[in-house]
Amino acid sequence: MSSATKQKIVIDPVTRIEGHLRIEVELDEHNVVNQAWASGQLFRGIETILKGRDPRDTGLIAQRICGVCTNVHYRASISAVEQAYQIEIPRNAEIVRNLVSLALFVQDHLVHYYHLHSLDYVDVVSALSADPKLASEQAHDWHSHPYQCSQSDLAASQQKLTQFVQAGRLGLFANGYWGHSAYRFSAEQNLIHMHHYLEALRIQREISKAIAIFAGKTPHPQNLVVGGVTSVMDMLNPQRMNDYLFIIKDAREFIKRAYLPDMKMLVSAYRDSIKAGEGRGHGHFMSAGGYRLFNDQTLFAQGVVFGHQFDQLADFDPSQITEEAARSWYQDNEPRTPYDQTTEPHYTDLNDDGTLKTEGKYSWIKSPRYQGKAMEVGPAARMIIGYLRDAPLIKPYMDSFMQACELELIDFSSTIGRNAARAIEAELTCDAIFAFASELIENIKYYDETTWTRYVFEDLPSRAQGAGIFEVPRGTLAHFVRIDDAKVANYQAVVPTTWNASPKDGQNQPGPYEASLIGIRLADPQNPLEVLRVVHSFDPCLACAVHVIDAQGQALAEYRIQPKSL
Amino acid sequence: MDVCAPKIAVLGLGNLLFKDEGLGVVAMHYLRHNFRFSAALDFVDGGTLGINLLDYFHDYSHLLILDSLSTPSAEPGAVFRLPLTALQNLGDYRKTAHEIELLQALDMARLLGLNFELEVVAMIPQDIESVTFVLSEPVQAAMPLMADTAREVLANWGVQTHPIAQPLSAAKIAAHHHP
Repeated sequence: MSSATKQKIVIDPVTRIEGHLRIEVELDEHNVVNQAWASGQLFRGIETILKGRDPRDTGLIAQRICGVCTNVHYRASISAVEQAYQIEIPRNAEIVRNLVSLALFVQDHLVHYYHLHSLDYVDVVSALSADPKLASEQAHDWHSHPYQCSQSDLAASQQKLTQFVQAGRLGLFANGYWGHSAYRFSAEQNLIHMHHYLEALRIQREISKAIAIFAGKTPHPQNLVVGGVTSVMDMLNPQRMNDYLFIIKDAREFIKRAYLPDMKMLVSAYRDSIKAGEGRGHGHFMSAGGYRLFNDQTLFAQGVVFGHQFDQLADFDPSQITEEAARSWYQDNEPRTPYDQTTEPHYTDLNDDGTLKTEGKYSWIKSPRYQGKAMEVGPAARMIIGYLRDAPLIKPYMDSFMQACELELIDFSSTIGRNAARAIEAELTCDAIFAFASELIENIKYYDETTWTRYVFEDLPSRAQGAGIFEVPRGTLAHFVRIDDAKVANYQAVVPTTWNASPKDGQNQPGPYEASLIGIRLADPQNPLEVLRVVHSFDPCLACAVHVIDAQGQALAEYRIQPKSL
Repeated sequence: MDVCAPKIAVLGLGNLLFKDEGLGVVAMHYLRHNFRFSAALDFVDGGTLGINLLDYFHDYSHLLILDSLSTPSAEPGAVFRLPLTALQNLGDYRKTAHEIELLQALDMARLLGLNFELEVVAMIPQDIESVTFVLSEPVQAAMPLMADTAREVLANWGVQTHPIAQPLSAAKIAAHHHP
């Protein structure tokens, strides 16, 4: 292929829910991606602000790494310190922490599918011309009791959408590629999805309330301390638990009767894409497992798979994790364990035309590797590994979905497959929440009200190191702390998006986003919807919250306030 | 609705970890600490709420949002008062992004038919990348102007504000209110 036929597409930013992600792809003459680069565009270096602090305080700062995932960073940070000091927390504290973390799974997955990703598949303009009666009938093709899908329900949502669009601005929906040839849903299917988009807005808000019941103050919780939890009164009050479970029950209904049926509709419409392996990466999957149940089994199974070799599942061993910055804007190129990582920036800039210097360093994200390999993390990894391990809370849900949709395990390693895995996980997570809640209620009934493990800080070793490693909605989250002289000497957070969005490494191995984009064909290079579908299927979230109101290109002079004294 | 007393929240947005990125949160603390108010207000460190902003749109009748703003035509420290109508004309919703921030959350609220009064008082930051709790000079210097602008909004909503005898500087507030 001559270089004259090469075409490069830059998408920036892919997501601004948290930070900036840039994707560059190179197309061949058939508009097929043959090269891809993923780049994090903001230096954050959050770890530097933790050095020298009291290890008991890291959680309150680390939770601000991300505006959306405060709870999981808070927990991982506190747990890293607990592991360093070998403090074992009471079972009740562990369950309360689980009730918060798992409710976040449910909320995150709903918001991801409906509000961050579904518009890559749902044409909102088409939904306006749907026949609500026909749509109501069709909703029954996907579930015998679809969630609030009567003709009048659907007509009401259609009316809301029409009013919104007729008000003159597509606003929220202006991002989309309406009318793009890659959209496949019928007008009625689009309306069903948009109706659930609206319902999911309500439900995700209820789940925020459920999280707040045990996490206390939102958005910056203060319920966790080294050794346990402080939300004791909430735990002991049956009304609070009842409120929490009532919300989760409603969410579970929505997942079973709306989210999963919608996912089946998506799988059905894109069956050929799944079977062709569109969006499939290199097939290295990793799960740390976790969320111990009463019988010492865990909700998620731990394990590692390389190159889709499902018959060679290995144990997950955190000591095999390294990070390197050969292609990232930091000084230290060598792979090192997270305990010894440095975060010294070394920015080598972009090309003059604003594109990435793809031969050298091109991202603020480092390259975490497991035994030297770039691992995909997240729901697909967890569901595949859980299935292979015969995990009691995963296998039956996977079997049921796979039978209904005639899928094989390999099919989850694809763009649509990642979404399907996420929906299945949302369902089983709800059910796990009920198991944890019953155990907590039992404990309290038998007067085990302990929520904190007593320790004397001055008696703890002055040097220690530990890791808090958890499966969180987007994948494997790990916080590493090294303590010296009773102060934080080094701190590193390796977050799920660091794994999935990692750039290439010293061996030139692509990260999961990059690998998954190779081979994707674009119908229209000016509107690269297919690229967004791949990247969004990972639920990208860069660990770097910025929320400046963006008014670029707008005249705001009339709103400027002048100091009176001038 | 009108027969009830308004339920008012002052919501500071931004991330305290990144210098001026957190100026909205500091402004919220600055206002809360340095003034007395004739009505009960809720002051919220909103951090970098995305879609969860909807919770507040649902729970309050009046929202004063303090935030940072990016616009090419003004220098760091410039203060803006943006009514809801101005916000609705902001942001061109870049074609590739599915982002949920303040503007998108406002659209979602409109879609859900929620009713509330909202104004934004925003300031241009100088540096939102350095990892530090210390605000830049121009942002510190403009904090009293931001607070006065916020007070005007509150006055329109029927809330009187009175300065306390010994107010703290923006620098002191920022130093006291990080985690």
